[in-house]
Amino acid sequence: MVGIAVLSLLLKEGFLVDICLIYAMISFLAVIVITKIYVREYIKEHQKEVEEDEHH
Amino acid sequence: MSIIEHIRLLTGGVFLLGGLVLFALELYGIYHMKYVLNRMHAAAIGDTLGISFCLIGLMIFSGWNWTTLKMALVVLFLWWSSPVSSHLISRLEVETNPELSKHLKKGTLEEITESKEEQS
Repeated sequence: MVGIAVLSLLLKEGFLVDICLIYAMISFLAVIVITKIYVREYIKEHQKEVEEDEHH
Repeated sequence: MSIIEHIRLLTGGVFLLGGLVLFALELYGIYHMKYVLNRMHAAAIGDTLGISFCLIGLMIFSGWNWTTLKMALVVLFLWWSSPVSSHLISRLEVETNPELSKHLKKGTLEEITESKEEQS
């Protein structure tokens, strides 16, 4: 991210900082989505195991 | 070069260099620590202070323009999003690690330091 900002200053292209901002937003969104999916799948698997144990 | 430009160059350089030092500290912490929550603590140094210092240095270099404003927005966004991301990742670890208690040390500060001294 700092690399892109340095590049924008060296090349004097302001739009590269927009890319930097979008990069930050995408990484934040990715963290939210991946953690939510992982926790949901883990809970599903855990419930399955508990139910199988109860049947046996 | 006028005196003001010299001062700008110096302060921008100091901020940029400070940011790089913080990144180095972050990297050392990530590879030095063993457990994920400790590693997150080290990684947060770079996410907040490291990037902020570097971008403040670049903002000083850039001067008063739209690029500076956008860089300030990036810093603000990171300050807002980094704690939320850290919280989500730590919650993931706490919820999905069945052996969490192995990594947690309970006791007073004196007891923990004593046990560390005994280990070393």
